[in-house]
Amino acid sequence: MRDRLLPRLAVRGLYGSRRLYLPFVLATGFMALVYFVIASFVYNRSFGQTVPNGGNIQLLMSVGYYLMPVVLLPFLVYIYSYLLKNRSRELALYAILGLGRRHIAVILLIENLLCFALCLTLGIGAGLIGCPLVFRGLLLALGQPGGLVWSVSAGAVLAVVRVFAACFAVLVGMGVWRAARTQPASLLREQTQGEKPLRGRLPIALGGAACLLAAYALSAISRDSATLTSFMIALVLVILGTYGVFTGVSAEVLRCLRRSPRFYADPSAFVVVSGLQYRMRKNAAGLTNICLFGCAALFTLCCSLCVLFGQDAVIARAGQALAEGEVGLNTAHATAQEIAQMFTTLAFLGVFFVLVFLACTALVLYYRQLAEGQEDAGRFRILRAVGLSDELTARTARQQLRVVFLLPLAGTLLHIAFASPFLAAFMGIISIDTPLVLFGSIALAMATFSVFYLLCYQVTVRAYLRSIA
Amino acid sequence: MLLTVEGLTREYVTRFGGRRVPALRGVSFGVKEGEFVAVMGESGSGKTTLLTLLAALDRPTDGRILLNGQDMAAIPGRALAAFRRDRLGFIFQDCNLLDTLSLRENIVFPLVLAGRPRTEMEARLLPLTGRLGITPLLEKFPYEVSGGERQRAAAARALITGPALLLADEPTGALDSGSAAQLLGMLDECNADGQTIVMVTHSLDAASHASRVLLLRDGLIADEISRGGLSRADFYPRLAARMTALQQGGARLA
Ligand SMILES: Nc1ncnc2c1ncn2[C@@H]1O[C@H](COP(=O)(O)OP(=O)(O)OP(=O)(O)O)[C@@H](O)[C@H]1O
Ligand SMILES: [Mg+2]
Repeated sequence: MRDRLLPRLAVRGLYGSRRLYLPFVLATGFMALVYFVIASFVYNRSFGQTVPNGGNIQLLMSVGYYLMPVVLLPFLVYIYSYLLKNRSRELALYAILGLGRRHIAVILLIENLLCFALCLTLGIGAGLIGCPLVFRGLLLALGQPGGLVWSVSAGAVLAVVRVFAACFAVLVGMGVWRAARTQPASLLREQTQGEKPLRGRLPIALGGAACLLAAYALSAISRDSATLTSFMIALVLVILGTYGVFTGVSAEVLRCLRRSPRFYADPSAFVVVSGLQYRMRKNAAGLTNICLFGCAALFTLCCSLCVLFGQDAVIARAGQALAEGEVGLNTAHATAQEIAQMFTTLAFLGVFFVLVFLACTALVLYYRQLAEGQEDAGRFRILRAVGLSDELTARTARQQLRVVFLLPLAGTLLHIAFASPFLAAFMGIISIDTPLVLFGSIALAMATFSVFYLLCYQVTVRAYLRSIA
Repeated sequence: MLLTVEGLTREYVTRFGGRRVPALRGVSFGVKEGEFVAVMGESGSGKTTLLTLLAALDRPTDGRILLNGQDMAAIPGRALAAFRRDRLGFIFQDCNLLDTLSLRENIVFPLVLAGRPRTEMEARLLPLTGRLGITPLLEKFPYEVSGGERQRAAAARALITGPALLLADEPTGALDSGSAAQLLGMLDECNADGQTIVMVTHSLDAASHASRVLLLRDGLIADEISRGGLSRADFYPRLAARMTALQQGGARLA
């Protein structure tokens, strides 16, 4: 009986928190799809042989192939830790009711196996339909229509299975470790305690601002001498700085707001400010994450657009240079075409990574809203009981969300604006240096990203309002 | 009549199996303006359900509640919120203080909602908290004070607007006898000032402050005892005798 109980508990748990797990499974399925597409190119034998210059294109694709798991794992770990936190009460209850750690580990294993199976089915299923189309599209863009037909390659399927199996194994390990480490009783206790007031708001805010300024300055002086090292340093500085500024500055601002006499004059400000202050640190961490995923998406988008818009000029120039040199006209033409193909492949990869980062951003945004909603549900119930009208409740909620979720967008746009020297330097490596292309791409990318973000925000606000209704 | 309750029924649907569990099964009574009514009954007899319905925080399955002759179900949401804000005070059994606000902010919150000036808040706050003995705790947060202190803060929040109708769900449940007496004294004064009070309680002593005691059992009003002209000291033994008789009767019936 026992061996059937654990699977039942696992399925019940997943179904019970489907509002959490469905987006998770969908997103992992989407990532599996992207990975499958990239792997399909890398593992397609005939591609390298049939398409001229196909070997080089495959080499470029394999960069994406190795890079993607590196992006994937931290993201999945972050999301899963949030899911676990939501399930901890349930797991603690199991422990108190007499399930041993081994049983809980089995439950987590079954859950993750189910998610893994769903993720693979979705990703590979969609891939089987989508891959031929993508393949066609890329061949067309490469100027090689027809000739080659896409076929399922076992290598690609295995690659997806391998990478995602490893990721989910890490998640199971994480869950088991968490479950083993926490005392059930402490999980069951009501989690009503607010955060301790933040000490050293000013140093944190100033330190954060200093980090940001340093990163921006580094970017500005790196215009001509950007290296991967300086980029990495700037990246770390930006991460620290964003966290510091979101934490320290918001703490200071909220404290001042709460002390001002206007605090008592406006019921919705009263509620919003105290609510934000109550879980400021958690908020700041969440906002930093959204901001950083947004930066990744936006930076990649900028690069892809630059490549897309800048390639013609580079190819023309290269062709001209070659024709003027000692090589023959035919060789020049062929080389120019090779360059064009590499650019197309780059843009193609870039778009896929943009999609992955956007999916990450949207998911983190959704989970933040859901978390806020769950925490605020009780609060708004009390407020209504004391006499806050439904309109004022909704207005207050929206006001709070606007404050919270427009901050990361602003941060992302600012960071990318200051990262433009790095972008210019990177694009310079592949000879794209027209200012119009650079700044046009950045502007277009920012506009696109903002629209996407605001759309996601609108959709996820509904998740929030549903939880507090 | 300030409140008229007619055939009030509330059924809960259990989460698993969808069984219907009646918490109230056709309760009828009236509350006159300026009355002090106590509601007693065993745990689970439907007292909290009744108060929640009276405050329009929940809708009845059947029956209706008239407020000054007007059916509560017909009052639009905005007006209901205004009613709760301006004319109703509710001391909740589980306090329902906001963890994000200090006790001071929790207590003045109804005044903030009503848009009163800051000076008025302070002027009303301190006498109230002084009598309840929680003035030194005003800057603390609900999770930093004891259950009894939380309950007194909840009482202060309900009383601060001087509401025309006060609903109290076991307001003395977590209090020692001294603070309970203090709070009941304050309720008496409010009542003397013309405020109407409906108070749920398990304590005979608290109930003896009321002018009328309703006894709920299994979702119905099993008995009603009026104080008449008796003093509190005389009412208490009568109430006790009546309750004992009723309990024995109930035991025989069962
Ligand atoms: N939300 C709910 N869902 C299902 N059943 C409920 C719900 N609230 C109350 N009940 C049931 O309705 C009945 C009356 O509950 P109520 O809270 O009104 O009792 P009470 O008289 O206030 O008890 P106590 O003295 O313990 O506070 C109980 O049997 C309870 O189990
Ligand atoms: Mg109750």
